[in-house]
Amino acid sequence: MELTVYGARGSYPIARRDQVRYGGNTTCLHFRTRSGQDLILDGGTGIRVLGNEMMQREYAEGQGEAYILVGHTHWDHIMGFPFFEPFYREGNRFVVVSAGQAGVHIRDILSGQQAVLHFPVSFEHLQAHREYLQFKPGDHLTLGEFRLETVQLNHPGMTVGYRVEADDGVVTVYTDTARVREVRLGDGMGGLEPDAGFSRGYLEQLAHCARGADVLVYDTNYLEHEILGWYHFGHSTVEDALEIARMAQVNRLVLFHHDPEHSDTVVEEKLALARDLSRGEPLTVEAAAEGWRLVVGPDAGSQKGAKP
Amino acid sequence: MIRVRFWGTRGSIASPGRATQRYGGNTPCVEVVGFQMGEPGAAVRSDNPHLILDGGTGLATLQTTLMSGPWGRGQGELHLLLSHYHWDHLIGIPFFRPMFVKGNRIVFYGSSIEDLRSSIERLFTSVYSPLKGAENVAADLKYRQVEPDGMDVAGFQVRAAENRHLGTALSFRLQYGAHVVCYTPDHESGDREVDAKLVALARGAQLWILEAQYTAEERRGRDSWGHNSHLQAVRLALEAGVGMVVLFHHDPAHDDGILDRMGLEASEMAAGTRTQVLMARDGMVVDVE
Repeated sequence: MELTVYGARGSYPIARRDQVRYGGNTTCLHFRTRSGQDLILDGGTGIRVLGNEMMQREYAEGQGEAYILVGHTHWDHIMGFPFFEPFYREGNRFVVVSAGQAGVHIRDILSGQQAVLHFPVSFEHLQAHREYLQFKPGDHLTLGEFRLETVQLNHPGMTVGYRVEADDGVVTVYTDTARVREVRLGDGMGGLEPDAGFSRGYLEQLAHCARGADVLVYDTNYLEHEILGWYHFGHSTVEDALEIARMAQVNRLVLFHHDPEHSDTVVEEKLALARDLSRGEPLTVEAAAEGWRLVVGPDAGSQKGAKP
Repeated sequence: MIRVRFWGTRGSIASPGRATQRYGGNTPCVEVVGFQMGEPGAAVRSDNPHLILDGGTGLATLQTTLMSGPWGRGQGELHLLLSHYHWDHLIGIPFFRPMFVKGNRIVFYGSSIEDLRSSIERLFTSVYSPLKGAENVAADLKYRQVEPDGMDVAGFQVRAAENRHLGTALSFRLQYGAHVVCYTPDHESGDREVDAKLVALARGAQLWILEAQYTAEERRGRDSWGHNSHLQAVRLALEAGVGMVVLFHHDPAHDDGILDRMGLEASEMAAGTRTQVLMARDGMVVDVE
């Protein structure tokens, strides 16, 4: 299968000239199987660009079908949906897959985003057919050719990490997760104070859901000197990502959810640090950049993902 | 004089990337500061008249400057005028760092207290924000209704008029001494009465920041989408006889090349008149003196 990055920035979109290499659009990843099935993870501002590309294909004729996973519903992960062109074409079909947030169904969350006071077109009036699949973290899901495992992440409210398997390739994505040794943030995690037993169990769950993955995409929003005092914002560092990558014995780690304040140079420093810390280990480290496409699993052959 | 700094000039949704890097891709946010003669160049002091027009993603680039001043120490007071409540004009607010410093005071102005308050609260609800509620914002938040016939905001005389858009959207006229700046995001020309009111509001302004989202071809198929073409914008500006019109609220699908071409066409249309045409860019500064 192919994985393409349409948005790698976290928190909010930003347009700065010193960030065009990694890009300023917020989270959106696209998976495509060999036979042409589409799965989208997150509807940050990157989904606008993806939608425009999809409109060059069968989606323009109203003959497209895709699964849309929403990792969680904070602004940076959903604010692109109102500008996703394939939603505006009758005949296209989408299954929106989410664990909801604060007891609210994903349909109502997306519909609330398009309330008349805030957006000119209501969600109910979109022409494409939409159905919904609500699940609980820990559930295993089968979506066409995609087999998924899910795990709750350590982030305020309800946030889900996904293991996506198709065409004998495996990608695990943890978009937003905090350092569990410092803070517990998720719904039902038992309070903010860290707990050694909980930490161990949580890290094992993350590692299990990423076991042997071809690619692990991980929230590395902060550098180590920045995270101090900001644990409760729900993000991690390169060191945290490497810990899980090692436990899970993944082949390739992709740094993700870049801080909007970080220039391309800072992202490159982060990448150099990760490579330095993992020197000599059987692990390739890269930083997610908009437009970057990689082939995952046996299809990869000698093909390597190339940066644009 | 009045110094106008454009932090975000894109409409609809942020559109970062290589193709838009010269004009920029941040959504509407314009900072306006009044200076006494001989003062400009100095840092903005707390007693300078100072307000922000709209809270799009451009706020994120503005915040770095603010946080190095009184807003970083919890001693800042900020006045934010919102033209309307579409997300592209609000979405910078939940990430705006001066909101997270106790002691800062942020005053929002809008067409209705109820819509203003519900919009800000919705930005911070637990389904959309890790803050889980506007009550968890550290700064002191205040809401004021815009008085269209005139009110003082942070040292500026402000008047307002209603645009033609989906829902209520306002234009603002800001006066400081003899200097006048007018701001019209999100407006569709074509209703004579509404156009006449906006032209009257802008008459005598040295600068009109005016919405011009579409090319002429795009505009033809988009009646009642709520936006001008660049040529419609210039027509209004010429009618009002303003000194300069800054075309603004660029379409997210327009790359730098298209915006260059629109700028040329708009300038040609104004050639031989007293009105100068400029395309807005993120980071641009215009001094009105």
